Amino acid sequence: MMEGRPIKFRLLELFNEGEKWNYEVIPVMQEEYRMNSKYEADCLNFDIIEICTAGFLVKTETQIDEEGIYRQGSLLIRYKITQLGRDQFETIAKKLSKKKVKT
Amino acid sequence: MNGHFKEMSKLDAEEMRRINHRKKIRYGFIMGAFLALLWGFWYVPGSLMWVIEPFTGLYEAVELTHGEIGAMLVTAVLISGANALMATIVLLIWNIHLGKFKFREMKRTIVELRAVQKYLIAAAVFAGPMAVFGSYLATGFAGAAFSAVAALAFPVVGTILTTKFAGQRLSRRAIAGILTIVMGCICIYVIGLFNEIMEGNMQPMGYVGGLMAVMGWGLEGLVIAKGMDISEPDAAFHLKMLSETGIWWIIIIPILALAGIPILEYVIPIFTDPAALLVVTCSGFAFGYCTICYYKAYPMIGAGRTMGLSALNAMVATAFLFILTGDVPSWTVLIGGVIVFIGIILMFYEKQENLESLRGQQEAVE
Repeated sequence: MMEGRPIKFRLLELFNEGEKWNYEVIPVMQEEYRMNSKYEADCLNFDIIEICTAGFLVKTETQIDEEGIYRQGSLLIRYKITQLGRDQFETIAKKLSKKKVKT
Repeated sequence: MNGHFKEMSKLDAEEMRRINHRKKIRYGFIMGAFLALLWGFWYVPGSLMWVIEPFTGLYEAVELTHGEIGAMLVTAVLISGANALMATIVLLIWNIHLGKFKFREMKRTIVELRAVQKYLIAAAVFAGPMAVFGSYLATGFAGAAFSAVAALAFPVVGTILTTKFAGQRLSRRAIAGILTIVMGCICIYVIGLFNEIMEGNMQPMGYVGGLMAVMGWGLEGLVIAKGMDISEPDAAFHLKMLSETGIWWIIIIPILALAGIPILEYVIPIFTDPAALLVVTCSGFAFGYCTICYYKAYPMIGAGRTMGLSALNAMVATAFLFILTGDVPSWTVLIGGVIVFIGIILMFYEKQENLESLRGQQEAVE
């Protein structure tokens, strides 16, 4: 439903599906939103941090990336959606515009 | 042995998470500090515009037909319009520098009118016409110091609105910090305010203006808090500035022109007169980067703290005036400065766990 919608809409949808690591979500988003550079991946990671700070996600597990799953030496974080996040997702889902832009 | 390593790396991950968290908060506070600095600096080109052509020409022309206050309001429209246009161009350069994906995100955001774009348009209305107009009305009908004090009270209104309607939580310590900063900043203008009250020239329209300014900026804070939850900062502030430019140039300026005010004649000289262009460009740069810092600080440290820090612009403006004109600040300014400093310390050194989420402790759902 949220593919091709604003980045945070889609992120909420992905986390609403279930608990996920940031390194699982970022490649999916990179593919869908054509954001392939390292910098763009960092931007996506930062967007996840922002919605977590907003109270829509909570961190459930952290791990240092020793094997280079995402990037060697970086912090891997597993997130789970909160009730607040789910409510926000449902609110925007009801208000989506009928047409989706092709970007 | 392996288990031992696993235990070690787990501890390190916890440590690293804490370091990252501290970094994130520091980033938010640095953005807030830059916001105050740029906003304070913005007052320099902002007040210069009132004394250079073509703005003075417009003022004089309107003064003849519509009186002093009419002239001030019309000039304020042209100044705000020029400022918004330049800031939008500066933000355009910023986003071009970041990459095409920011423009794709802008397109995706703009079509989601009911879910997110409405907040950005509302922010433009509250911050643009409502707050700007309000503060000029307050200046015209009550006095400059009254207007400044009214504007500086906006973090209090904004904090109340965002805790009430956007669900953001603040610790008692953060609230005390915000209040202290606002008190300190108001201290700067206290002598001026006292003089204005003594002179007894305050008119009811001035109070209406003050209320419009404080509510405008406070409401802007609320709608941004709501909008930033679900939009990406770089795309969001550009769309907000674009909306604001649209409000001035597509709605208000044409309406004034149709009403017979010769505002359009003074538009072209802004871009052809080198002095005017320089001042307007400086103003656009300061305002553009100010907007960037505002929208970057919001998702990190929350609405209340960002607005509290932004009130510091009064201190910065006084400092810039001192550097540029040699106006020695009065003793109330120094007292205000000390109070502000205490407020920042109060706010910054609160328990970092409080900032884990802007909406207090949240539980995961299955």
